[in-house]
Amino acid sequence: MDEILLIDDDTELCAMLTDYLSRFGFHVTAAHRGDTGLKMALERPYALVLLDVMLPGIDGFEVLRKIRAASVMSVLLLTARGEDVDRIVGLEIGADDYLPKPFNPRELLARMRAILRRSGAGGGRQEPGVLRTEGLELNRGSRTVLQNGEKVELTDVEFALLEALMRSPGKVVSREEISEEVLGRKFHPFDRSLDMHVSRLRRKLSEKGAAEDLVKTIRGAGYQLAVSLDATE
Amino acid sequence: MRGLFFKIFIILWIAQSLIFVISTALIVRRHFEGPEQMFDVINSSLMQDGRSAVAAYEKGGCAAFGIWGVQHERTVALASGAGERLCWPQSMATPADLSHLEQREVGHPVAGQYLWTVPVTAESGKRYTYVLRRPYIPRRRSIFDDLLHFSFPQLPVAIVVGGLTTFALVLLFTRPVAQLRSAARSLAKGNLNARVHPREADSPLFKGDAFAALMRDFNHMAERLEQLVGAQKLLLRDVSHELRSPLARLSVALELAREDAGKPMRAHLDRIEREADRLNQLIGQLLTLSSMEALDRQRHFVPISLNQLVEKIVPDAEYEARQRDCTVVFRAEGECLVAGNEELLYRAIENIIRNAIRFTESGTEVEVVLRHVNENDAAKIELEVGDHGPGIPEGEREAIFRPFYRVDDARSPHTGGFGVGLAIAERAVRLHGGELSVTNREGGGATMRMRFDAVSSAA
Repeated sequence: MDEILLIDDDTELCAMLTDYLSRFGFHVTAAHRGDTGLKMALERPYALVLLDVMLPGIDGFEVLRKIRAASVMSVLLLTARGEDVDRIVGLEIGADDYLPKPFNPRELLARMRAILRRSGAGGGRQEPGVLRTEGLELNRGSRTVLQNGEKVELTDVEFALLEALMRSPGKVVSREEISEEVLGRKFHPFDRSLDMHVSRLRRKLSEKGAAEDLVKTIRGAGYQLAVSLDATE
Repeated sequence: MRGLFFKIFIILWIAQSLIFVISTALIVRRHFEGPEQMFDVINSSLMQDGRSAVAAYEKGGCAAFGIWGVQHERTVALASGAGERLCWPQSMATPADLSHLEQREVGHPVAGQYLWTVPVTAESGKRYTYVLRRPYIPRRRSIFDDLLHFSFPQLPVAIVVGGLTTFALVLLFTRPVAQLRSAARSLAKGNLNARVHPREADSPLFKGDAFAALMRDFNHMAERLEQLVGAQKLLLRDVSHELRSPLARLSVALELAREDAGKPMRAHLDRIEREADRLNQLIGQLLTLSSMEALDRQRHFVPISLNQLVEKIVPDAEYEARQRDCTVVFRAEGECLVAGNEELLYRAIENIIRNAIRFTESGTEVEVVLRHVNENDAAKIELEVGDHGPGIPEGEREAIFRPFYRVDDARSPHTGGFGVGLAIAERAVRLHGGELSVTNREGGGATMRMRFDAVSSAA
């Protein structure tokens, strides 16, 4: 049973979602205010937090900020329809994904699963457990990343993104492929969430000493992990 | 503006000049009503002269008369009342018959001279005829001579001064008019915050006048307009936002129902889901529409390749087209660049292409053509989307771009849509300074045509 924290002021919706998600193996705890929700998020580790942006008490973005400051818990933002700003700001602050209301519950499920796929799945892969390139060491088993020996704190999505890039260093991985694998959905032309995740990953890596252009954006194609010329495949 | 300026200028100038000319003429007329008046004045002085000359003669004869003449610097002669010549210098002409000179004559031409004859009665009672030779020719003074005499230099001065003051006056009037016009045009273009700003320098002088009042009224009107339109837009947005919560709950409830439902129920639930989806889409479109009005995206315009944009749209469009057994064919003639916002253009073009797919006959193709055209010497980019549908009735060619408007016979189930897509496209195109129009094709179907200003590829 995965523990989900749902922070939304719509009590009826929370009740229905709790019911719905429980049929798919999720145990949902609901909070209806920003401050109570934040407190609960920091008390226990949850597999995923579903966070509405319009909350009484503390505003949704503030809650997100505070959660991010304390942990790398996965957060899926429920944003208002038609407000592009919400999406971008949310992703910048550190949400793993977003879904505008009103949403199709099946889509919510799919996105939740995509984010959670990484945590808990772990075994069953036939690929090497550790990937190493350009001073980066990615350990699939422990789900940790080391940059020149120092640990880098990444969210699940950032981890999955880096993993996808490190599997084919020096090669361009298309946005479509990354979107499906990392976010669990088809790539839409104006979806900026991938860009956001990439820039956050970049920032975290360069804070630990990696080169600024380690993760390259190839316009119109995708992303690439840059390798120096003398690296081996 | 030029027309009005000159019209006022010319009229005022003519009026001023006419005033001047007419009043001058009237003044002149009053003073000099006619030759008779002038004659009376001259006559009395002649009489006086005559009496004094005759008195001198009665005192000292012709010699005294002659001396009198010299003293008074006049060429004079004297005849008796009967016409006998009494003192007649050589230089004086001799009229043949003096008897009829009894009559007072204004100027009697005699042998190359002009003689004035004045009958005078002396103190002694004797009657004489005083004759005076005058060198000048008193003629009927005409009005025009007087006008000319009094006109210079007054008339040119009047013209110049009149012209200058008229100029200043007209300027005073036309500036506020020009300001109002430009504000009105700006308002009509959609800048609801357009206002007139009367200059501070003018206000102490013209605080209470009609123009200041007009400007205030205009500003007030613009403000009300802005409020009203703003309120409508806000309403649209708020309604759309408020609809999300019930819809969100509805979606989850639907899913729960689906989980618990038996097979026969599933079909109905599918139906409900479709309608919920439609509501969702409609809300999305309405929000897009209302957000477009609010934006000032022009500042963020960048060069966009329409070729690439259309190429992104076509695959998804093709997918929809295949559901109706149709295809989408795209042809580009050259590299077409416009300045704009990618997302807006994407939405506009996508809406139009999907619309064409919806209306075209099953089994036909939708043609998308991108090309350069020349419109009145301006380089433009044209995007045409042609379908093989029923076409658009003549009278409705402009109406279809209104939100929710649908051609009457097209409310059949298979066409779908809410009538908002074209409104979105129209607004997006308008925000880009472009044009969107529709024409019917020969052989059936409609062609949507978008035109934008071309941007050179030197970017």
